[in-house]
Amino acid sequence: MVLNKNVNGINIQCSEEEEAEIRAEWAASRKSVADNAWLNGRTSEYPKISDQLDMLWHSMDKAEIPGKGIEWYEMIKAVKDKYPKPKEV
Amino acid sequence: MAEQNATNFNSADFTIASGVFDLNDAVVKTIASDSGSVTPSTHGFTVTGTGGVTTSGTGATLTVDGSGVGGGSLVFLASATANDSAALDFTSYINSTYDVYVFVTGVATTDDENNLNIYTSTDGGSNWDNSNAYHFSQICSYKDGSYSVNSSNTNANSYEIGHAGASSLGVSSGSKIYSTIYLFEPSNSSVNTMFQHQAVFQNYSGICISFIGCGMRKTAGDVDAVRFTMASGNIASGTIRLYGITNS
Repeated sequence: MVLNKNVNGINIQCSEEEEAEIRAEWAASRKSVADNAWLNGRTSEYPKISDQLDMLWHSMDKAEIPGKGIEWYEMIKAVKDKYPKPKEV
Repeated sequence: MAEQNATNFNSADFTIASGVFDLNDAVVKTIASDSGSVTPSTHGFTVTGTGGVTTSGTGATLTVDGSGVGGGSLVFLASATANDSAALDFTSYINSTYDVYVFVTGVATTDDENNLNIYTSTDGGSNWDNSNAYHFSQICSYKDGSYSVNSSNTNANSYEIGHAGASSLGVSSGSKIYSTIYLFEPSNSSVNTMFQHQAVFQNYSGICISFIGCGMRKTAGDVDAVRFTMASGNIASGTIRLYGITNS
């Protein structure tokens, strides 16, 4: 299918050379998307950083991983203790 | 009392207490000198007449005159409407008239998982800068409060609005890429033309995403044309408008 473009408000047909150039850019873009699908997928589905850190804290708290009692653990715990989560939430 | 007569005020119409001037009713006050009027209302007032409005206070004065209200500083230059268009080009309007130009977009795609690409030209659109010509970075914010950063890292073939993956526009959402894109000093041949954009659209799964980004053309040059394309496929529909911001 022939490509069209709009130049300064006027619709005209792309030249063969220009059409080839645009189609090459589209192809390059599609290749880039395909090559980086794994990265974009991960980026899209990772939980928020704050949620990930909270998961780590709870794993420390349950001694699933070491770290309970370190400065960072205690700092977070102090904030949690200051603002306890209501039981009904 | 002479002032009351000149503005047709009655003493019951206003009070002055603690330095505050209050109109006590909702009656039009005629300014006899030039046939203007002041009309109080619940949330403000309307002033007519050629004299405009002047407010003043200790240490500062704010004046809104007729030309300021009527003119504004955004000058419409051109628009391009897509109709399954491979590109929307602006090749005749960008010059040294304005230091800053603004594009306002509302365009839809024909292909899924897409984004808007921008290219510059220094020869009126005969050749487009499309090979490692730009740097850019944009923060994409999602509805759940999470965000991601898309950047060109080192080089990009185009300046991007939106990106692949979750921060891409899709056909199924029916959304358009709504954005404002600023172009700073494009005609200054001694500086790298800078971009800044804000955008919002629904991604291919219907989630609303907002973008704030910036970037630049990697080499200095007198940019006189700008092209918009989708990363893949045609721009199905929508319009891009170009404005200049008056320098003073």
